[in-house]
Amino acid sequence: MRQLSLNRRAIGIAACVLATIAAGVLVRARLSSAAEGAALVRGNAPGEWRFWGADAWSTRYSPLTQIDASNFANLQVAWQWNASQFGEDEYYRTTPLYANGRLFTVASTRRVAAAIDPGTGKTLWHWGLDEGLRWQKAPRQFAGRGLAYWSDGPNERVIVVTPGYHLASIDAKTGTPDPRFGKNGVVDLMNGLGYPLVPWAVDDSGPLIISDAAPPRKARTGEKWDSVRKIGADGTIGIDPAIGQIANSSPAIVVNDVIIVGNSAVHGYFPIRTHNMPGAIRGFDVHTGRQLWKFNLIPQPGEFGAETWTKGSKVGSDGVGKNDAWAPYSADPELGLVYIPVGMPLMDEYGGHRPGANLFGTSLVALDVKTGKRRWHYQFVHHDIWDYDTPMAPNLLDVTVNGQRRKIVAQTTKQGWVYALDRLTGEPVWPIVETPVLQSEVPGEQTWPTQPIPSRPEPYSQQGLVESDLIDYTPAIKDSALKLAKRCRMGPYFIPASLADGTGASGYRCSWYAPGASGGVNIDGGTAADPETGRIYVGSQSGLSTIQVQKDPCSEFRYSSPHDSCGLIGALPAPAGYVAQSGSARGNGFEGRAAGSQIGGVSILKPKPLGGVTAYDMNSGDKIWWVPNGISTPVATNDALFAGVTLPPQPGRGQAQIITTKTLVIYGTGRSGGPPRPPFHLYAVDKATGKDVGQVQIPAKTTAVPMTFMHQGRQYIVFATGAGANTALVALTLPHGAEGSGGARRR
Amino acid sequence: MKPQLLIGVASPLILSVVVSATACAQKARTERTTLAGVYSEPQAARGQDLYAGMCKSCHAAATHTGVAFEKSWNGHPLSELFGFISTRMPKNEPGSLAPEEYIDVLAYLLKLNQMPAGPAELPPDTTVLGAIRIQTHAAAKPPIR
Repeated sequence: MRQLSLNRRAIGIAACVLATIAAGVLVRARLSSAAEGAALVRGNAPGEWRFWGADAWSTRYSPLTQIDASNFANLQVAWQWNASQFGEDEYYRTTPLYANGRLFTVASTRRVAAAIDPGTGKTLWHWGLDEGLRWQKAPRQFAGRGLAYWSDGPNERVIVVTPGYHLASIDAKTGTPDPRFGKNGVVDLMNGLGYPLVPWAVDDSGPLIISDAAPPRKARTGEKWDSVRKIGADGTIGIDPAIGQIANSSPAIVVNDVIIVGNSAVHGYFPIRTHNMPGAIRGFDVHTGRQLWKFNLIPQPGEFGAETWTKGSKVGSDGVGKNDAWAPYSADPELGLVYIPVGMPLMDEYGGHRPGANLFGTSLVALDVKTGKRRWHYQFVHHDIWDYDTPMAPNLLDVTVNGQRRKIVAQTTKQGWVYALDRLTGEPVWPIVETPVLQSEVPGEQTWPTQPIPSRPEPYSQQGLVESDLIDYTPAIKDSALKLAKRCRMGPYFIPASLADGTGASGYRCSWYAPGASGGVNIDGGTAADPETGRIYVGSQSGLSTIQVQKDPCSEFRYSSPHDSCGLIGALPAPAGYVAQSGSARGNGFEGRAAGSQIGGVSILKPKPLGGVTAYDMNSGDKIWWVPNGISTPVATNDALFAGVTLPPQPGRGQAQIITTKTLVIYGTGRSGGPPRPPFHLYAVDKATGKDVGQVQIPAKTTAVPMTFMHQGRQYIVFATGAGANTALVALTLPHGAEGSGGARRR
Repeated sequence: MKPQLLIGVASPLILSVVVSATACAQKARTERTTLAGVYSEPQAARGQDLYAGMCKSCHAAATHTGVAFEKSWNGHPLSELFGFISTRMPKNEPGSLAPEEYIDVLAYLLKLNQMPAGPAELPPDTTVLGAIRIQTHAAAKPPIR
C-alpha cells in the first residue's frame, strides 16, 4: 500500500504504465488442431472464436459438430476458472476468445487480462494496470465484455481497453506488453481526443456515483495525496473532468491491421450536468499504436450532421454529450468497413436541452476502416428520449432477397425491431416507413414527429400498449385491464414520458413503456446469425412498465426520471424550501412502474410469443419460430376477478444468451432469466425448427454470451457466471470417449 | 385435592397467563423491527451476489446506507421498501426479478445497514413484511440525557 501511495505521489499515469503486472509465461499451449494452417473465414479460423461475436461479422456461429442433439444433455463440466482470484466484479459479462490453442479473457473490476489453458482451465499468464484515480472514478468499473485478438502468423496480440481508458497490446504467448506499441505496450486513450490533459484529484475515496456524481476534479497547484483519507492528487493525469467522463465496456475490434476503439460514457440515468464528453471512434495502427483517425459521434460545427443539433453541437454546450458507441462492433474486412452501433445522447428520458434529430445518436454508422470516413449511417430513433441505445454488434449476412444476392447488415435493437440494411449503402432491404408518432407534453421537449418503423420482419417484443394487447378472458377482466391501462398514456410505440405531477395537457402522470430501456434486445442477449441459411436467432425480453419525468431538485436538467441528487458530491445546492421525501413517496406518488401493469399479480398483457428466442429468415424477412427463454412460468392468483379462469403461462423472463452451431441454437437464460433458485440450465434447440433437443445442468446462470471452440480434438462450450466475489468461467465438454468424429467444417 | 379442583382453581390463572402471553406476542409481532434478526446470513449472501449483478452498476452504497438510508426508510414498514424495490428496480427493467430475488436483495440491504441476521429467511410476503418496522441502529439509540 505504501509503495502504491508513493507511486501515486511520485509518478502518475505515464509511470503507472511501467508498473504493469506481467506475470509472464507459464506454459505455452499446444496449437489447436482445428486451426493449424486453416484459412480465416470472416476473420476467424474454423473451430476458433477470435472475436467477441466469434468472427468479424459477429455471427456467434461455429461450424463445429461434435456437440449435437444426440449428446448435448451429456455435457459435463470440464473445469471452472475462478475469475474472482483477481478481485470482485459486478456481474461477469465477458465472452472469452479462443485462438491458436489459448483461451483469453478479462476479469474483475480492474479488468485483468488472462490466458487460460483451454484443456485444463489453468491460468497461463495474466496482466493488469494500476490506473490510480482513472480506475477509481471510471464510469465502467468492471471486467467488461472481453478483448480483441490479432495475429499475422508468427506474432499474436491480445488487445485490451482498460477501465481507465488505456489501450494495451499484449503478447498472446507471454502476457508481456508489446514494447513497440505505444509507450511500453500501452496507449493513453485520453490522448488524441482533442482535450487538455490535467492532473486529477478527488474529494472522496469512493467511485463515481450514477450518473456523474462524485466526479474527480482538476488538481490544485501543489496538491498532494492524503494517504490516510485517500483524497487529493495522486499524480493521475487525464482529460479535465470539467469536460466530462469517458469509459469503455466493450472490446475493440481489429480489422485489416487497424484497431477500432470507441467508448462508453457516464450512464444517462440521472445526470447532474447538462453536458458531458461526446463519443468518438478512433483507428489505431495495430503494430505501433499510432492514432490514424478519429470520427466524432456528435458532429462538431462544420461536420456532416451538425445541423441536427439545432441549438448547436459544440462540446460543452447544454445537452451535448454521450452518443457513445458502447456495444461491440462488427466489420466486413473485404469491404473495409466497420459497423458502429451508436448509443443515445445525454440524457435518457428528456431531450429538451438538445432539440433536433441528434445524429449520430441511436444509429448504425458504417466507417471506412482505413480513413475513418463515414460511408453511410442509418438513424433508428430520431431525438431519442427512450434510452434506446443501439445495444449490440450488428450481424452481417449474405442472403438472397427477391432472387438477388445481397450483402446485408441486420441490427437488432432495444425497440424490438430488426432493421435490415444493405451493408454497402445503408439502404433498407425492406421498406422502413417514417411514421407519425405521439408527441411529448413535457415542457421544453420537442419530440421528433416521425420514427422509422420496419415493414418486416415483425417485432420480437411488445410494442407500446393498445387495447387489443389487454387480457380479455371475461368482460369483467377486460374492463378492469382497460381501466388500469388507461391510467397511463397508451399508444402503439414510441410513447413519450408523461409529467409525474400530471400537469401535462392530457393529465397523465405516466406513459406505458414497451419495450423498456433494457429492450427488446440489450447487451446481455442479442443475436446469433447463421451464415449457412441466412437466419438469425434473437435473444430478447418483452415486458411492460411505465415511464414518467419530473424535476430533480439538484440537477441542471429541467426534467429527468424521478430522482433526487441533493447531497451528492457535484450536485447543485438544494433549492430553498427543499424537503427530502422518504419511503415510497421518494420521487413521486405513482405506486410503481411494474406493479402498475398487473391485477392480482397477473399481467394485463396477453401472453404472446415475444421475448425469448425468435428465429427469422433474413432471405424473406419471415419469422420462423419462437421459444421462451428457458421455461414458461405458470400463472396463479387469488384475485376473485380471475375465479374460474384458467390462466395461460407467461413466457420466460430475461434475455437469452445465444450462439449457434452447425445444427443447434444453444443458449443460457442470462442473469435475470430462468428460475430464481437452482438448478440452472444451458439449453439447446434444433436451429431449423426450434424444437427442444436437450438441456444440461450448470453450476450457475450464464451472465454473458457463451462461446465454443475445438481444442485438441474436443469441443468446449465456455461461459461466464456469477457476480461480486463469485465470478467464474465454466467449461463444458463431452465425457472422454464420447467425442465422436465431429469437428470443424469450413464455411 | 382432586385433580379436577386443581384444574378448576388454576384455570383462570392459566387463562390469564395465556391471554397475557398472547397479547405480548401480538405486541411483539406488531413491534418487530429489523433489529430483531429478520433475515438469514445465507439469504443476505445470495442477495449480495444479486446486488453485485443487478444493482451495483447504478448505485453507490452511500446512497442507500447510513444516514441516507435512515432518512429515507427509518420507521417505515419493511413491506414499503420491498414494494419500492420490486416495482421500481432495476430502473431499466422494473419488476424483472423474481420475488425470491427481490427479497434476497432486501436482506442484503438490511445487512449493509448493520441490521443483524437471524435464524430464518425473510419471505417475499407483504403481510409478513408489513408487520416489520425498519429501524436503524442510529434511530434505536436511547436519547442522551
